[in-house]
Amino acid sequence: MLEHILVAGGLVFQPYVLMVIFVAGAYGLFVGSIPGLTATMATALLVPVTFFMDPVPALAAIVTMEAMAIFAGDIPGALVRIPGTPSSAAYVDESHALTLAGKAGFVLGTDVIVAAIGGLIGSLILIVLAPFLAEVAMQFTCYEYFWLACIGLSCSVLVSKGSLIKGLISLLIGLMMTTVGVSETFGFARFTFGSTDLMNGFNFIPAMIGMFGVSEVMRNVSTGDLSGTQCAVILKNMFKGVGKTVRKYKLNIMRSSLLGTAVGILPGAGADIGAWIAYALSKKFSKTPEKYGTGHIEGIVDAGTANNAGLSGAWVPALVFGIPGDSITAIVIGVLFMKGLKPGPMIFQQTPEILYAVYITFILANLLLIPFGFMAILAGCQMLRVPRKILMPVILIFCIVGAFAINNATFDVGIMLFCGILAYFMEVNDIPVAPAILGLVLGRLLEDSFMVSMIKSEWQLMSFLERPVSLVLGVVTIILWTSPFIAAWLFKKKVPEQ
Amino acid sequence: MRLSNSLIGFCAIVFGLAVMMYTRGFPAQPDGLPGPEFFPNVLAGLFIVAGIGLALGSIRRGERILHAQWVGLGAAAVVNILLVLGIIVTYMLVADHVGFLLTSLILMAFLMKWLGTSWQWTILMSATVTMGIYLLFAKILMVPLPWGLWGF
Repeated sequence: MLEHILVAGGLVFQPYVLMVIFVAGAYGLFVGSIPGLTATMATALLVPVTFFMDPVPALAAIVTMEAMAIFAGDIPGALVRIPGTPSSAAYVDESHALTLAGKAGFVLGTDVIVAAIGGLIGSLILIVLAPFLAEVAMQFTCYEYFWLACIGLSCSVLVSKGSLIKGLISLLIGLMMTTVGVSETFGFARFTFGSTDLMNGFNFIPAMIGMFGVSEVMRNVSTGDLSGTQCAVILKNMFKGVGKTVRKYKLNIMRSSLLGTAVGILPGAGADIGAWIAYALSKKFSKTPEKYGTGHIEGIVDAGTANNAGLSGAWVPALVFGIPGDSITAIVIGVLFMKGLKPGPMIFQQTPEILYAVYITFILANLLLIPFGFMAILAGCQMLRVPRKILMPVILIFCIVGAFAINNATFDVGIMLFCGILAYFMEVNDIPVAPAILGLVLGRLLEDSFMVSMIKSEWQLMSFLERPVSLVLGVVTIILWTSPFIAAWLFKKKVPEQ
Repeated sequence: MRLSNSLIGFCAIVFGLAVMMYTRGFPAQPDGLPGPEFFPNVLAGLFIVAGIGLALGSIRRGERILHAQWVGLGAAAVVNILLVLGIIVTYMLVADHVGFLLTSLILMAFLMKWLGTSWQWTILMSATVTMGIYLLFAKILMVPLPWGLWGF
C-alpha cells in the first residue's frame, strides 16, 4: 500500500500536474461563481482538454475543478442572493441575510472552511470505503452487475425532482440512446439508418457537452438580462469568528459530512440534494430552529459541509462498480473509458497508483480550497460583473470545438446539437436530465449484463436470484421499484384518517 | 416549447410504437430466442406504459389535453435560441471551407453583438478567445482544427 501511495504521490507532485490542478482550480472557482453555470457544465467543457492528458492530470483536473466550483457557488449566493450552482441553493437566503447584516466576510469565511472540512472527511470515507467495497465487488458476476445497474437507474429516477413518471421517461430516453449503434452481444447495427457515423453509437462526450453546455447557453440567452451582476459588498473581518463557529458546530459538521457522503454515494443524488437534506436536518435538530431563515449560520455550516462531502461520495460507486453517483462522475466514467481504464473492482488491482493519485488529489484539492477560496471571495464582486452576453458566445464556441476535438469529426458537433436541444426541451417541460445521463452511461452495462446472463442460463430468469448477493441486490431493486406505490398507498390510507 | 403532460405522454406512446414497428425488421435468432430487438422493445414497452401513466394522470387532474405553448419566452428569447442553434449549424456547414479562425471569429462576434455587447468588447473578446482556443487546441493539444480552403 505504501508503495502505491509513494508512486501515486510521485505522479501527482509533478510540476505539470500541479499546474493543471492550479489552472483547473481557478477555472472551477470562476465557473462556480457565475450564476447559471453549473459544475457539471464546467466538467463537460473540461473533458475535451483532459482528453489529451494522461489519466492522473485528467482526473486531478476534474477533482479539483468540482471541489472549487461547488464552494464558489456560495459566493454569489451570499453576495447577491443568486446561487452560483444548484448545490448552494439550499442556504442562499440564510447567507444573503448575513451579508445584509454586514457579515459577508464571516459567512464566506465559514463557507470555505466547512467546505474544506466536509471535502476532507468525504475524501477519507472514499479512501476507506472504496477498497473495502472493491473486495466485495470482486465476487460479482454479470447477475450482480445487472441488479447494480438496475439499482443505480432506479435511484436516479426516485431521487429526481418532480414527477416520477417524467423521471422514468428521462431514464428511458438515455437508455434508448445507448441502443443506437452495433449491439456488442449480437453484432447487429441498430437504429443507424444507414449512417456509418452512428455505428459506434452516440459519442458520450459530445452528448454531455450538448446536454450541459449547449442547453445552458440556450437557457441563458432566453432570459432577458444578459448583463453582469452588480455587487457592492465590502468584505471585512474575514475569518473573524469562524474558528469559534466551527468549534461550536463540530458535531453538525461531522453529521453533515457523513450525510453528504452517504447521499453522494446514491446514484443520481448529487451535492445539491445532500445540501437540502442537511439543511432540513439541521433545522430539525437545532436548539434554535426559529432563527433559521433570518441569517443563522448553523444551517449554512451543515449544508455547506454536506455539499462538498457529497462530491467524494459520488466517486465511490463510480470507481468501485462503474456506476456514477452524480452527473459529474457520469462524465468521469466516460473519461476513464477514454483513457482505457474500465471502472470497477479490477481497477483497484490493475492500476492502484491511479486510484491513490485520485485520493491524494481529493485531499490536496480540499486543502487548496482554503487559499484559493479566500482569493475567490476577494475577487467575488469582480467575477460577478462579467456579463453573460460575452460569456455565452465564448462558451458556445468552446462547446463546438470541444465536441469536434474528441474525434476530429463534424458529426460529433451534430450529436452535441441534438443533445443540447433535447436537454433544453426536457428542462422546459420539467423532465429531469440526470436520469437520462445515468441511462446513457449504464445502458450498455444493463443490456450486456442481462443478455450475457440470459445466454449463460439459457433464459432461466430465476438464475438472477440464485446467488446470495444477487438475491439481496434483486430484493433491494424490487423494494425500490415498489416503494413509490407503497408510499402512495400509505399516504392515501393516512389522508382519510385525518 | 412547453407541452402539456398528456401531449408528452402521447409522444412517448407514439415513440414506443414506432420503435416496436421498426425493430420488426431486426433479424430473428435461429433458435427463436430474443435477439437484438429485445432490449429496444422492452424500453419501447416502458415508454408506452409511462406515456399512458402521464396522460391519464394529466386527464385526471383536469389539465388541458394535447396542449402546447411557448411559455415565458418572448419573441426575442426565441430568436436568441434559434440564433444559437443556427450558429452551430453554420459552423458545421462552413468551418471546413472557411477554416476555424475565420468561422469562430465571425460567429462569436456576431452573437456577442446580437446580444448587445459593445463593438470594442465584441472585437477584443472574439479575437482574443478565438486565438486562445486556437493556441490551446491546435498548438498545445494538437487537434487538427479545420483549416479551410485558404489554409488558416
